[in-house]
Amino acid sequence: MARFHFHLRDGDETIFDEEGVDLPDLSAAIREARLGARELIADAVRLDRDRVPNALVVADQDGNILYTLRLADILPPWWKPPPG
Amino acid sequence: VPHRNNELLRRLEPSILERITPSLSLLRLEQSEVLAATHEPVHRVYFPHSGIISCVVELPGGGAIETGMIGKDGQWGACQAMDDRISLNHVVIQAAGEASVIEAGKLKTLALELAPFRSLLLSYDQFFTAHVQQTAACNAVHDIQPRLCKWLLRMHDLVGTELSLTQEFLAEMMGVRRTSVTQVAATLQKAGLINYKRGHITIVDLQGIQDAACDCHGELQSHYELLFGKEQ
Repeated sequence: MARFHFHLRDGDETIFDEEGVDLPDLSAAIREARLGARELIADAVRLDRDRVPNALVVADQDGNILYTLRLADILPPWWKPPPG
Repeated sequence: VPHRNNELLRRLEPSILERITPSLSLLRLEQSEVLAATHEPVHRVYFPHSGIISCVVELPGGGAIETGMIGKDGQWGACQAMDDRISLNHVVIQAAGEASVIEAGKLKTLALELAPFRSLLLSYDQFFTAHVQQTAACNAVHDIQPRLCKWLLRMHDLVGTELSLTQEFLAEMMGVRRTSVTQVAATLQKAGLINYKRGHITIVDLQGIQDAACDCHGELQSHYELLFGKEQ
């Protein structure tokens, strides 16, 4: 088990997840990030939110970034913006 | 009489409460203590003075969603005790506190003997059913932010403005991902409604939380007043 933090990057602003959560390993943390990102997108679309985080940043306890998930990456393939 | 710290017991005529008192004892309820496991017999009935009893539905993939919250304005276990039955859900202490406790068999005998006591317990059971129905409707149609605010209002009723809650726990109880709670907590904090610090929420602006919450909390309060009258 290790402590993982899921920060929300919203343009140049970041919502820090001070608390974090214990998960078995990085792959479990990435799975959790994907589930969280899906819910954020679903909610943003449903509620017509004008601000949605654009990325979820998975970090360890010391603040090292382990993984960055762009919300666009989990959109269905035909919705994804062109790369670049 | 300490038993009057429970708002249901307080509503009993003194003569009726006197008949019950010898069978009541005081008990400390510790956080995370399990009062009943799903399909286990119910041995005791709890009338909290403080703290929170949480009824949760356990999910096959692990985790659990809260469907009912019981505090000093309620009781847990009377219906099951009256019918010598088991618990159909998982019941756990969410916030530590104290309760008046009565053995299930004794409660049954007293409820059969004392019509006003029986009537009070049945009324509460109707209220609790309404509470769970409201929760089901709320979970189905209301968004995370108003739901979280409703939850904070209920917590405020039962434990006050200082809440020891992790986002992990909140997310699990509400059936949402933790990241959504992080986002909503940040929004509420930015709006000056709460103060959030690792595992600790302080309600700063109660009126603001009320305005941001769905109507479910108010609905339930009016059901409660209808059945039991205004606070005594």
